[in-house]
Amino acid sequence: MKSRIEVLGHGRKVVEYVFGLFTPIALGLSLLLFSILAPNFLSFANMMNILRQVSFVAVLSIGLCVVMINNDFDLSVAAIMGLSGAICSVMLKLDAPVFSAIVVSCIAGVFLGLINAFFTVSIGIISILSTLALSYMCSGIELTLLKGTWVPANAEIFIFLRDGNILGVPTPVMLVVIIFLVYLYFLERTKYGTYMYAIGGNMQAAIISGINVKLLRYVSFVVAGLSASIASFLFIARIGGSTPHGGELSLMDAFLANFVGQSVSRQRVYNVTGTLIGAIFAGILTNGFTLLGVHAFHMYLIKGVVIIVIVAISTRYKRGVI
Amino acid sequence: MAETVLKMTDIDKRFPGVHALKKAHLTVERGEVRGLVGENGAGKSTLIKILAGVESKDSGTVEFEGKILNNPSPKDISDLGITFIYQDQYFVPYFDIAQTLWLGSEPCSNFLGQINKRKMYQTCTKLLKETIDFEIDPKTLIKDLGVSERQMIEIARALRSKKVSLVVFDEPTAPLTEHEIQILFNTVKKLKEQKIAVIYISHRLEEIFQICDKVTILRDGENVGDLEVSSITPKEIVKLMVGKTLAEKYAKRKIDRGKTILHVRNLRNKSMASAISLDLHRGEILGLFGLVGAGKTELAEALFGVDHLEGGETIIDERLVDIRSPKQAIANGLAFLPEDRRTKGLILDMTLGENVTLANLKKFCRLGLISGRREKASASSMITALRIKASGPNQLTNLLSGGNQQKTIVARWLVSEAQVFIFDQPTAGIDVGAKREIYGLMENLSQEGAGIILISSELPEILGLSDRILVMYRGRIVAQLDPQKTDQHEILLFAMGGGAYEKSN
Repeated sequence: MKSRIEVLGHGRKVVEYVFGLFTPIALGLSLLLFSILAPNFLSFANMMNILRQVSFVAVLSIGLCVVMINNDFDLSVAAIMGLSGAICSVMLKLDAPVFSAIVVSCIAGVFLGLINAFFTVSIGIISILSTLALSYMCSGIELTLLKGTWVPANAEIFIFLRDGNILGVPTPVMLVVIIFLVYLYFLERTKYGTYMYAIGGNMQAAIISGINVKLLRYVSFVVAGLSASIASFLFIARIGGSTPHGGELSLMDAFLANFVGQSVSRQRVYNVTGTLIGAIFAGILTNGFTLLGVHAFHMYLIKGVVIIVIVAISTRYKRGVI
Repeated sequence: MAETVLKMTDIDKRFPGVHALKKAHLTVERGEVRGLVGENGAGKSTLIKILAGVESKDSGTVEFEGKILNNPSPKDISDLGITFIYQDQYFVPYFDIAQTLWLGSEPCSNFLGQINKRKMYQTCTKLLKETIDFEIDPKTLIKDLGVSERQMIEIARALRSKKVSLVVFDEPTAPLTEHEIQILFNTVKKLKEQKIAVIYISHRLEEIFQICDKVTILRDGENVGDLEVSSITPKEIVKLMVGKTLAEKYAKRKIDRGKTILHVRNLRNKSMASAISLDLHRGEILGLFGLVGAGKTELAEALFGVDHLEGGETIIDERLVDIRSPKQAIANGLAFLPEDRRTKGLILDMTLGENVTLANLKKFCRLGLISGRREKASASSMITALRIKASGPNQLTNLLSGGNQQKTIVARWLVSEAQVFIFDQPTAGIDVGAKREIYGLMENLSQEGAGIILISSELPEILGLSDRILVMYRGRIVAQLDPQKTDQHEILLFAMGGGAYEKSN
């Protein structure tokens, strides 16, 4: 069996190489563009600002990444984040202790992840549908809890989460780094990570190798749900409370981050490192276009285009067409 | 004295309507390579499935290393050290060799399950060297390996996890190239040196003679020979496989061979081993015989434009046509009746009427809307003409019997005014009565001037129906035979590569 490159010949090889590097090139070009057009863009303060801005998207995205590695989808992560944040804000408003508000929100994230897993893994609904349905349920509960209006979340810990420093590093950035390293360790260094990649690559192969596929898929949905809860604390800390539909645009950012992550890996597989890069890329787009005075409405359009282009190239690349 | 590893005795198995195994037996000794041959339907797969614990036997005993096995599960069998190498391979394409080899039992260095990569890669190299004498960088990705290399990894994986005393190869060489087959044979020899018993199922006589010590021949579920390979010739094997009794012949009518309707020259594509040329005349039934993996279906799909063509020309009715897609094939009067009619031929959730008009819907449309009335009228006339047993055009096709499903597909092609019909295993899984009806249908089609290519691996069917027979072996047409002058032995000998083998010896 010949390798694809041999069959394609030399000319194709160059094209393939360039398209393989599409995402890094796009990333470089957007950095260049913003630094020329927006003078403040490259300043240290703005860079730190971007990292703070993306912190909650980053946590959300790498949680989603664990599900994506299994070759499942989770369209509910942003809605889980919104609901979990709303639970926390409303409990604080009702004078519940901060600690219990945070714990209850986390339990909600885990529980919602379990629901996703139950309908996807045990009932057998395709994950796109089951998680989409859950996403609507979460939004419904969120709106009910918030009664359709803004609920502030005032607690010391959220101020620390937003403005504080740990060892000179902004708290949200530190939190992202810690979570990222834990996920990276489990996915890339332990057998459980290998099993998840096996499930995503060929579920039948994983099953006949005696891997507990069901359990691991359950775990991944729960991890995504819990990550969404953690992201929600960063989110409400950042905007000072919960607002209806507050987390909506983050869903697109989280998928953008994962698709970028997939497209920068050599084997075109989802991975947390790439996803983290992707989350920062999403933040750079938001920040850069905002500095250029592009209206927030247009961000939907721009990011939608970026997603479709990256996914189109990855898809063709994987099929060996480019 | 050699030690017996596996002893299957008096294995009996009945399926509804079929007596698949009649007191069949199979014995393998340690360090022996045992060939298992037989025609399609002779009971090889059933016997192997019983061994694998996938099917249960009705009676008989299976004795493995001196212990009698009672309805073992596939897992029990695997734990006992019996391993099966199938054609279908389950791999994670972006894993490397070491990851694949260790998948499910990685060496870990702490309680968190951290993988000890150094150990994993070192032992991988050692393991490949010791078990199958294969040297390769363990960091090579599975997707960059050839099929035979993947087979070797699979064998190594089986040998790693446990003590293996029996390896069963089921048609392992079908997807392999000549060079890859030699690699596989070397691996089999390595297994033999380690005193591991091997069962080797193949349709290719030359392979049996190259690597097997003994051969077990099955016919209609019965043992017809257990012989030393050195004491037998390919001709004798084929003779035993076919037996003396010719199955009842089908009523054969005389046809008037018309003009050439299909003329194919040097057709080439990726999935075929060599360029193919053939002619088909009006009113002719051209039988295409070959065993599993011979490339019959690939040829049919190439003719029908399913696979990308790489060259060659097709002339239909004296017109040079360019067929690059099934759509173009249909437009040029070709019809393809795939082997698996339930998944590839019919849309089971649609009614008979909808299925019949599917390939030529334009004919039933007015202003882009389907005229239900015309559709029904056309389907009703087909039901009468082909004697389809159905309640009417509105019957769902998944409720029809196999034979009537086949007729529905034929009706579809008649509606689309096809001239050349390619039947791929048209009677697979159809009962005897329905078979007769389908044969009658094919005869009627040819009498009306259509050309028919009948792809089949059933010898009596090919002999009884065809006006001319082409035999395929490993992607090539190796013989053209006249059904009046040939017999089952000759056809099978060619189909098993015995023709060339006889000549070269």
